[in-house]
Amino acid sequence: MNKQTNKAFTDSELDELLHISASATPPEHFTQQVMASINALPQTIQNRPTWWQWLALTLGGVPAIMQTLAFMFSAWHVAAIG
Amino acid sequence: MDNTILKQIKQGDKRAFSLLVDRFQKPLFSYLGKMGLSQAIAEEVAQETFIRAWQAREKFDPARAAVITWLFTIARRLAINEFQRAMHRYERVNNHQSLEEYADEASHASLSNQEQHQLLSYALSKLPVDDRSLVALAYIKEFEFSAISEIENIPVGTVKSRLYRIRQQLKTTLNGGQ
Repeated sequence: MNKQTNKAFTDSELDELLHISASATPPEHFTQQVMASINALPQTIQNRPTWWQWLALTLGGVPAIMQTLAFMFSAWHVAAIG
Repeated sequence: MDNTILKQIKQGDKRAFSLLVDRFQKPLFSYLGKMGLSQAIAEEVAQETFIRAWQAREKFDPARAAVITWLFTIARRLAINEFQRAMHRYERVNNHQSLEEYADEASHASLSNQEQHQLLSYALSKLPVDDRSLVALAYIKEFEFSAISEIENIPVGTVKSRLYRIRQQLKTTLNGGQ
């Protein structure tokens, strides 16, 4: 297996071989293929909340918290007066 | 690449993105081919690279990395995944047995160009996939050591020392050693 070859590959020959070594090539119309795949992607949903979503959350959330607190207070009050 | 184009891409301009695909497809295919992927798999990986880049365009920060470095980082990860999947599925065709004989018995001076390329392909196939990626990047003219170190996420000194070791290993294999 380790038989000596007549002439060993030198650094420069290795470099040359590596530079020209097999590389794949883009097919014709590759850009169009990629763009067609991108166009076929489902529309991305916007993840960042907009100002009106924050407003709706606040307008709905504050009364909900108040109502929960009111319920807890009335339950405590009923229990306290026996 | 022009900052205006990058800005347009970040805003979702597909026409600007197609310019990026045009500009970088050739070095990308060259890299994937040199890594040892077949033409068909290289096409799949390159296409997936550009799709992922499009999907992640808003996260790209030109102040942190060049666009080519960003693209090749995506491509490298996909290519390595592809190799690992192929190894799991035992799908890689091994036609290298006869090539060992070339390496053992022939003087490279007597080998045809095609045989030399086959022999090199055999020597590359014996490298770990990370090493193949490194050597493929090193022999694409677009890249300096600093860019390779960013893509591979290792220091420049490590790029140089690993490249030296890989070249020695390739020479040993090409000259008939193991």
